Amino acid sequence: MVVYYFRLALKSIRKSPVISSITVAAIALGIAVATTILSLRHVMGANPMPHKSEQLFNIRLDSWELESEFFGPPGEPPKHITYRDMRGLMRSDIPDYQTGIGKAAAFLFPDKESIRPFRADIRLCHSAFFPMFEVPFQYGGAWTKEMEEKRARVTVLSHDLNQQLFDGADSVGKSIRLGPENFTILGVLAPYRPTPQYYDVLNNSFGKVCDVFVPFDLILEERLAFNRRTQSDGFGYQELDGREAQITQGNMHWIQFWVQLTKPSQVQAYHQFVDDYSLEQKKLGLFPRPLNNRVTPMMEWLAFNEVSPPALNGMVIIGFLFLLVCALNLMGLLLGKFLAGANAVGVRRALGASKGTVFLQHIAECLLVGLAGGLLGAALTSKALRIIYNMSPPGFFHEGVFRMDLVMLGVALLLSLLASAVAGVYPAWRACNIQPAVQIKLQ
Amino acid sequence: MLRMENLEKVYRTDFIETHALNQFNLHAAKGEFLAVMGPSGSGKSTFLNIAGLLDTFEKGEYLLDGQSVSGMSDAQRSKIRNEKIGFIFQSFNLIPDLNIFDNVDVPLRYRGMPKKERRERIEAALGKVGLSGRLQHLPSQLSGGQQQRVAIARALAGSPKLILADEPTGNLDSRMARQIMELLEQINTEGTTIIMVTHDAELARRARRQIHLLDGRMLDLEIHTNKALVDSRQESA
Repeated sequence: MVVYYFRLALKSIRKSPVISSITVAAIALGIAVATTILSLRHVMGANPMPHKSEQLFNIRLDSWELESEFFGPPGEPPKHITYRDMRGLMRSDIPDYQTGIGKAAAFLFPDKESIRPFRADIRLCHSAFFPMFEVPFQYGGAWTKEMEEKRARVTVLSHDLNQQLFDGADSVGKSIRLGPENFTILGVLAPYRPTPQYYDVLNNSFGKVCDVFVPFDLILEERLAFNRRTQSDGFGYQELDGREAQITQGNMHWIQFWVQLTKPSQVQAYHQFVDDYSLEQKKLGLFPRPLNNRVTPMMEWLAFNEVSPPALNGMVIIGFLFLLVCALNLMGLLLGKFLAGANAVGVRRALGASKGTVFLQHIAECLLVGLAGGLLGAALTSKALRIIYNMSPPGFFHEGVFRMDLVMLGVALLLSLLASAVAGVYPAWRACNIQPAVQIKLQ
Repeated sequence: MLRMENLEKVYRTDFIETHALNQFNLHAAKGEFLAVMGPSGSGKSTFLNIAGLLDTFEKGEYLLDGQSVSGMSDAQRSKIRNEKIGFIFQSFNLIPDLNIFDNVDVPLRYRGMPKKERRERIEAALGKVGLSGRLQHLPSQLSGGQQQRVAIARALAGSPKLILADEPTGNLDSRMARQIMELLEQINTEGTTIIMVTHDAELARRARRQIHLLDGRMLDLEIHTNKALVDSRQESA
């Protein structure tokens, strides 16, 4: 019987193509607006590592001096730590993995004559970065702890850069020239677009991954002179001699620090370690403020930094209100259409259709309209996301943010079916209450 | 087959009460061919709507095939309508966007019959009215007489015990009307009870019994037997 209802619904839709197109367009428009906003919220608010996010923690220390003004949220420590504190934290053997995160830039001189030198984005990190954030490799792997201690000129390339420089071939063992020196390629990433880029939401939550990854301490090398390109907090100005001294002894807060703590006991112990470290620094005359350190789980960290802007929640409400308006329009259109078919309903009722049967027959038509509206709405959403991407600053977002995934396609279809069914309840109820005796006489 | 006792039906507005049926009594035996006559407003349509379970009544008793229909739910009434009653309307009331096959299929669908049985019944019913070759035609592609024959096939396909015909020849020319009446007589001969509302006295005389309505009451009960017709039926039986 269900198949029969849908067959009749299809016939009815075909019978009046103009009205049907308008009904489908009405719901598609509502779905497109609501789903576009939902898609952005879905991507921006998603847990990028659901199986592991609870084990990853961002570390903050309140090492700020008493007199200086701090522009962060009241009561919160700075979002970055100094190089000196990073070194201090890395003395701990509690975490399974730990890494500093920084961003820099340098000119890359390709061997290919067709490609002119360009400024490459450099991700400064420790070897633990790769297993900790489960970064996928296409070729080779990461450097070792020994290599980073020796400040070896080694690198891991992003998938895109390897594509650009080596046409996607295995480039492990080859080298690239970054600034004045050659770097040996140890690994090439598989396509990797964490969304959001959870390990560095302070610099660019939704941009593409950096072109090259190098051992953190290469930032200290005078000769390489990597240009730090990162958000930072800082107080005072210290006249220190040389690049290494400026970084290792300076008060510039510019490093994000992450640890992996698998067991609850590790979390507790690490909290204690961080506080002990602060107390140790106080004895040295540093960290003048009261203890105010943070060991923040990844998802809390993303929420704290408003990776999914709170304004999106307001927009979601607006999107749903718009969908409601479209659904009300749809209700009006369906009511007109169903009542225009009153005679056929009267005949069907006379021939044995119950009210329930007539109701379901009309709801089936609403669902078909909803299905078509959902598909069209999903297509419009995809187009709208593309337009927003094209309007955004180049390179600020990676394309994946503005792509509709299967979850959102499902949401669009479900939402459309639901909205159409709800919009159809009143018209279908009116249709099933048509008096057959009256309609049969009217013809 | 059909027994109505002291049936009352009142239509109310803010100002007026209209007694469409008033102390209405009728008994139609199985296999009867009954003609209902009366002027406009006499209650013919109300009687037909109540008889066909398309409308309800305030007082009285209505037994259809021995079963009281008072207090039945919409689903129960629909089921009885589907299984026991066939309708033939003056204006055919075919569904315009369904082809002939699908039109006849409508009541069978609501009975939840298997596909094979539905097909057999539809083909048999359309064969009986001489429209076997028009299964895929739309109603608009047929003449008035042919459309009414489709409507009869639709009524017959479900093998109803009672056929309610409302001015079945009202929209047809005399030749077509004669053919339709012959078809109805043939159906009646095969045992189906037929109650036909008509204005046409000549057609009414072809029924075994006529009743006349006026102001919602049975005016008199005239049993009119068309002897020649009965004889011919007896011969054919």
